[in-house]
Amino acid sequence: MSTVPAVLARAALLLGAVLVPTFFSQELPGRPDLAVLVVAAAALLHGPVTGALVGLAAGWLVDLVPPGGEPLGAGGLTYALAGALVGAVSRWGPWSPLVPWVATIGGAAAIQAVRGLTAAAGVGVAHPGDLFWSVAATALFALLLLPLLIGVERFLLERGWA
Amino acid sequence: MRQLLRRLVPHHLGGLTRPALLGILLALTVLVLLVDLARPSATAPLRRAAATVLAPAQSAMTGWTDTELTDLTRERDALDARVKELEAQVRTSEQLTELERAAEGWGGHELLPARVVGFSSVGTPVGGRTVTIDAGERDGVAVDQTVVSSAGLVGRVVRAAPSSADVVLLGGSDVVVGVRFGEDGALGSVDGRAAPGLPPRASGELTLTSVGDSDIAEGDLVTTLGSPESVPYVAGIPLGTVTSVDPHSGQLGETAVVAPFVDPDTLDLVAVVVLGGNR
Repeated sequence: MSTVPAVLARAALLLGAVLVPTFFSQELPGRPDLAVLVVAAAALLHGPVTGALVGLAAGWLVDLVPPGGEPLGAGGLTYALAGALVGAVSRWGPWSPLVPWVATIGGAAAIQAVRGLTAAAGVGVAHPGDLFWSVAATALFALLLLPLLIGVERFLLERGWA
Repeated sequence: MRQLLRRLVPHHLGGLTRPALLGILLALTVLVLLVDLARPSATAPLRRAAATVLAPAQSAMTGWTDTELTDLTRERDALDARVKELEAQVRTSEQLTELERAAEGWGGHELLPARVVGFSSVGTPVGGRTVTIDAGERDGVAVDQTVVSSAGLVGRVVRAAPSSADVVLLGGSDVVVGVRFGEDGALGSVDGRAAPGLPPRASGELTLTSVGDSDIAEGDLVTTLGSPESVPYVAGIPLGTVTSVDPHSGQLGETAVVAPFVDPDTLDLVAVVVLGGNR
């Protein structure tokens, strides 16, 4: 069983997710975090370990795509945590069709919580309102994009590529 | 197809379980994080390489608007007019106050137009506002140059790659700007983070702290004080206006809320002040 197509597909999705926000940086009160949606889709179908691996890759991209984040590597660890969290919740998926959506919001909220905590500790500036709106915007985009991304993951899984 | 892919995958990777792979990659990430904290210059080449590869893609994606050319021309003309107006303002204030800003007004420097092509992700663990512009070392951009827009001060360059540069915006982490405010040009500093004990600020608002015992009044214009050799901030650039003065709470200098002229969410065309450009 080869995992190369899945790795390539996720890499392309993540790169798109990190580059695209340049488009809609102006209209919404908060900007959505699209990278966490790709991470969540992989984590929901494959569990916490794959979720953390995809999260690690997403965080590295967030840190490296200009203007990037500081310090280098902190994004990778944060997104890996989010991926592992969403993956851990995925076992309760059969409960309700809302579980994937709620788990994704939880992952996005975890990332914003890290941002808020570092700001509270005196590193960086993060306004609580901005953090909230960012999670809200991510939740909205998750409604539209998460089914599509899960569809991609399911397609890869059915082909034996993931 | 599947057999071909199976042959392409290195066999030694197949022997590694996913948890083990995750462990190794997490350990490597922690290592890079520690190196970056201890010695940022060691990881700079990595960022530079990423910027070199991705900047063309970012600037191509920003350019996908139909009215780009007309918009750019209009904005450039507006910027030009504003610069002339500000040059005149600086000249007047020089004559009026006889302060030491005569030599370092920003009128004498060349303005290099640039477009914002990337905003910092909302997912970075350390919050802050940074943008990427499509001008880099090849155009003469260097670290610690001032970036302005037609509205006023935007920030300063923190990283420069061959064809792009990262700009930390006003109100970002660790950005403190020396300023003059009010009619007399009293000294103060503007910070993105309010000192403990002050009333909470709305998103985007800055805090002005007076250095001396001069009073801050609502509506005071805040302009940059300027740094020695104009690095990182050129003198006399409008920054914002005072919207409310904080009540005294025992702190040394008086503090006030400043609304910046530049809205970081709608930044598009900016200009880098290239020092000594056309003197």
